[in-house]
Amino acid sequence: MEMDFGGAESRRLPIYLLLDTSGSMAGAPIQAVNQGVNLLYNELMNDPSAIETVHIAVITFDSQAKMVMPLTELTQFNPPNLNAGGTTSLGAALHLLGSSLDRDIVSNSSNRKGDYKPLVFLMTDGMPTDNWEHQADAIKNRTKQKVATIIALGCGGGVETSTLKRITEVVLMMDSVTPDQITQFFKWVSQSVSTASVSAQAAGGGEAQAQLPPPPTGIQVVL
Amino acid sequence: MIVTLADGSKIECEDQPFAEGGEGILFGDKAGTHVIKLYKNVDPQRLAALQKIIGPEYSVVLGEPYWDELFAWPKAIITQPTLGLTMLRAPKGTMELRWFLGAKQRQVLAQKHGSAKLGNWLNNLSLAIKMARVVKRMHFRGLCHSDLSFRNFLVDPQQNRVVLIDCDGLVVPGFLPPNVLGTPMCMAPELMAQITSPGARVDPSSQTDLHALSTLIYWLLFQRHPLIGPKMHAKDPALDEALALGERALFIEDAIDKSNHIPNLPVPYTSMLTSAVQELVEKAFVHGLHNPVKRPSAADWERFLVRMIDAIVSCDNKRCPLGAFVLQPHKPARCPACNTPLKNPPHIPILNFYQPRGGRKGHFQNDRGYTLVGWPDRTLHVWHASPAHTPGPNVDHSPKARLEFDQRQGKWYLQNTDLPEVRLLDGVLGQQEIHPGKRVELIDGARLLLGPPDQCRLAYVEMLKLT
Repeated sequence: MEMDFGGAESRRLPIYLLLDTSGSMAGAPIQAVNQGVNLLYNELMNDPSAIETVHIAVITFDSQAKMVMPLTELTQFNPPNLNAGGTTSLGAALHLLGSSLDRDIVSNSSNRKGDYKPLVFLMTDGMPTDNWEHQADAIKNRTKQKVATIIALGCGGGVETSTLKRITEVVLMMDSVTPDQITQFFKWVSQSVSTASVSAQAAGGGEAQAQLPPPPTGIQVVL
Repeated sequence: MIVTLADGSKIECEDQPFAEGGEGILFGDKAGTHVIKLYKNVDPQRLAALQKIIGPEYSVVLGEPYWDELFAWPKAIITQPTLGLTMLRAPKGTMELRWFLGAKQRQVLAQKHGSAKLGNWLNNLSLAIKMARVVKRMHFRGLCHSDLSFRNFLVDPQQNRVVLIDCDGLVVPGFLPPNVLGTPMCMAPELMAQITSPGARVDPSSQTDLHALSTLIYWLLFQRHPLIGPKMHAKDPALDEALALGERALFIEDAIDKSNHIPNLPVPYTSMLTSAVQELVEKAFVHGLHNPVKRPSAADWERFLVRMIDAIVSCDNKRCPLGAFVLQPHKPARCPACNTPLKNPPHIPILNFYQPRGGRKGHFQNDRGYTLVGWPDRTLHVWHASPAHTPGPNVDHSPKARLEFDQRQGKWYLQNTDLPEVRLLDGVLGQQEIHPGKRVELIDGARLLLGPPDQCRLAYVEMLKLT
């Protein structure tokens, strides 16, 4: 039996994964994404600082947007098994993200420690097929108010950077969509989160984006 | 990959790094005994700094295997393919201290490695002593680490192992400026304060090291951070936290300002420690929190934590999560964790130690409340008998005397095994010599001289009745 010494509840670092599961991701890419989420989970479970703070949510989007995994404490998280098919409802996914941020993010109060600024990783390989512009503007407006940090990754030639730039300033592009590249991306996500869980504690130490590690080879930062 | 050392010799190491930090990339060597660090950016001052740290003036490990186990100290300089260094690899089984600070981490660790890996409270106390010893050693050399943290202490509670890593970035005063401020939860308030209100520059120093050491010791012993309590300082969570660790830092157990108190804390520090160690906690988190010169030294932490071991008794409750606790004088003899009263043996001798007062023969003075709680088979060593000795690598560890409880007679004895001059002082009979191999009954009010009166301690026996 472990001793209960009491102590304050720690702050949460919410991580949102917004993953494109449209038809074009079918086959090897979606398998690589599944493995990537698994890898992310395993890497974070090896980081005692991440175990203290990280909570993960997974939102997928194809013909519809779905909250596959609501914001869950890392130690309770089960990597989902995702399938690909359908169109690319990015707008619906951003809407879902917005309402989840409204609902789930705890602000600082005298009876509960507020959450660290959420990190959102958006991954897509195609052009949105729904009405996304209004949602993109709404989300970008949030990040201007520093409600969340969004990092968007475009996979392959089917994505226009201007679309992603409308959502966030932090845009990465992956030229060739190979399982290896997708794995590299998730590895990078885990490094970013590990950095964030330490430097988020640094507080006032600048924006999370300034602390992101350099992306892996084959993934470019779009300035 | 082959790397070349400054003396021209070569080492074969793995091609893939096992870790990457802000400053360098870490590789294992093929032999499995060393870690190779290659710097990403070579600062022109770095080579000279490394030479200093490795050299006889500042090295804390030279020729001493005991210290080699406690420090992953730079061993040799690498010149090719780029500037780097070699260090001894930390033993298998050591892990970031962070794994042992907090219920969530401990649970994950227990699932992976079994609950034995976690060790118990006594193991944590032993780790704390070694951590203090490590910092003391460095500070005695005039060095400060500048990033003492739960990442840079690798520990194994079961094996009682502590290794301090990241020693190549430490600060040689007046020679090398620090290149990191520290790790947030461990940084001294004056360093954190620079983040929220940049003003006068404060550099890491041995004083900021001491805040980190005190924080890690408290955190390890109580599984809670000393400054993270309910008090709110700002609406923005990040700013709130920076203030709570920085300019507005306030101990969660401050006796006067209770605004950061955690309600219903199960085991306050005052219930778990000897009075001397309680004083160190107060120096660290009350008097010295915003006044660095008042912080307790690493040597003080080591000395008084070591003494605390002499006050530990086992809990009678076999299912007690703590298992053992510090018996505090003049307080009910109960386990602070499970509240089980101590009943066996029915009475126990408390040996209050007094040390010789310099210059006045036959006069003794209180030694910061140094007491030894009688417990079956507890042993006395040279550092009990004489204030000239402190436990450490170069001290004789063999038992010199032993406490025995005779169950049948209900009597306590001090069995002298190897102390040359023990005397029982008796007002009526004068002095009675207890030669090695002999024993003496311990009764209330007995006075024992543990050696020559101008060099050794006097033990005054108080019998504590438990039932």
